[in-house]
Amino acid sequence: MQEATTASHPETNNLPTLAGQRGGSARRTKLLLSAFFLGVALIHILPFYWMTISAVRPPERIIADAGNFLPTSFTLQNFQTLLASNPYMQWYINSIILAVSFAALSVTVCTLAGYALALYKFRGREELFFAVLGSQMIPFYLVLVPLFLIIVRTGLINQYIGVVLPIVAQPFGLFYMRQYIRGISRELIDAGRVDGASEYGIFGSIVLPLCKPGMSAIFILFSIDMWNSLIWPLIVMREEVKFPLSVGLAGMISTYRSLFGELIAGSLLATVPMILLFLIFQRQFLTGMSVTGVIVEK
Amino acid sequence: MTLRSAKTPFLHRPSVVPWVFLAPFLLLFLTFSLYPILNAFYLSVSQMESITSLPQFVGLANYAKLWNDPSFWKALNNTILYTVGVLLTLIPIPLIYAALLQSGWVKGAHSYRLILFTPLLTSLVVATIVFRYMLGPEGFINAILNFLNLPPQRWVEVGTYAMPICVLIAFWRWTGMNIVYFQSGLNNIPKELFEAAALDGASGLQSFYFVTLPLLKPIVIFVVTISLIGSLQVIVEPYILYGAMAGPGESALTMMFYLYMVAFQRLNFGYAAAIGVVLAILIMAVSLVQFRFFGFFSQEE
Repeated sequence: MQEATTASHPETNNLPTLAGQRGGSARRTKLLLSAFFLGVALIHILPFYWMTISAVRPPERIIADAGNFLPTSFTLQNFQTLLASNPYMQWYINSIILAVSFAALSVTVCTLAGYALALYKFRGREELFFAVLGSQMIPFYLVLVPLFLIIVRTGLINQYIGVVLPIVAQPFGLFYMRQYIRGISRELIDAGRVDGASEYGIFGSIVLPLCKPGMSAIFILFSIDMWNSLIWPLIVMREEVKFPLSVGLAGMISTYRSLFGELIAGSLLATVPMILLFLIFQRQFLTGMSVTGVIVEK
Repeated sequence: MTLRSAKTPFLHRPSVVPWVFLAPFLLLFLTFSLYPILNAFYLSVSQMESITSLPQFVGLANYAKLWNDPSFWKALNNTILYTVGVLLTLIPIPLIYAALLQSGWVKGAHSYRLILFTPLLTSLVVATIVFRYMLGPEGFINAILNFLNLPPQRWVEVGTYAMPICVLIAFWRWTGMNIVYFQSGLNNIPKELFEAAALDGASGLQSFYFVTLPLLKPIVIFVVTISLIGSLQVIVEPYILYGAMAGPGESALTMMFYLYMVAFQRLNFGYAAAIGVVLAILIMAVSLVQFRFFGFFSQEE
């Protein structure tokens, strides 16, 4: 797929018209533009910065120092109350369980099916592919009520598997893995066949290792999707100790205590894994996301 | 092949192998996608007394009720307002940013792209919490207004600003992503075209208008479509900002929010399904328009 065009590529100067202008005015334009983007960048970072300095302020200073952009004081009090008065660590663990199990299951199922669609010719293949792909057009929320009824009737309500299983078969994942496997050289696979490997052996020893980059890209994408999702886990999970972070934080807002410090501390901690993932897997992040075009906020 | 397949064990037959690979996906897809889709249409013409009772066919009663439901119209109105706001901000501004960052006129363009991307690392829940408090008494927005001798505003307490605040959050989170999209479109434009334009005496602005924009049309249509589809389903921002009752005078009620309220607060599943069907038809209409313009499957070639 068209991956090379996104993340870390050198600056390309597509507009050589600048050369035609006089040096002085060009320099001024450059300076102005750089200053402009510095301002834009600062505005976009501001909420992060504010979140961080507020999280380490003592609760009684928060409203008094609201207009102060300097880190006026440092305390971990908000983090202590957050952990003491909410099952925050449990929410964190739940989020990790949901994100990892959803991404792992989905990548597995999509890779297997993508392999079949990419390399075998069989009756109904095209129809099947387009039916699955077409269903991507149907918004998840159409099935919210029917899915909820299924989950209730099968007793999967309030269970991790109840959150994960219904959304494992992701048409996008299938599409992505099919395209990815199509890019693998047929000669390698035919060579395996000549060597007498079974179809399953070919998949396991030849195709699977070559799929790893594609699989990890959608693994990251899907785990972020799950980490950030609110509505679906909110519907399935009924007990506070089963909530993932998103649902737990949302629940804290609707309680009557004034929770600003705790909420902002909890929000900050919930964002840390995303920032770490981004720093480590910057490339997969940007390519994965730009290829999908869809980050569904479930 | 056929001779061999007669002897080979069932699971190794060429006609069976692909279905073995497909089975897990297909079973889950049929159970949790296809059946619920069909079921949603059936529920939308039914009424359910409780979660456990069987749906009773009521014809188009739910749709008739929807037509006369002021809350539904309010929700549709808010959703459209939000969608228009998103399109008016999240298409032109990132497009201009992307073109400027690409032009080589900005020092450190790559770091700016990364910085503008970081808001997407927050979940919608976290982003909305942060904005909710930035605008509240704990935040700095009113402190700045105060400093400028402007009257402080009750941003979140009154309903007036509901949709603009949601647009603001979307803009903060998505600008960087749309820059990435537009940038990938810009990279695909052959450099020679700009050189030719420059030879013809075109200024930077002229070549942007006559060369860049027309060639970016496919990616612009693509970004417009995904923005539309995403915006029409907005729920998390109003839910976090205004709570489960959708704010004063339903000022934060969106289509999805209404569906959620009807289904999970009032437990009126048939009616909720009807809202879902209307929303789905709206979104599929948008997708089909994109299909006409852009070709959903064009990535195949």
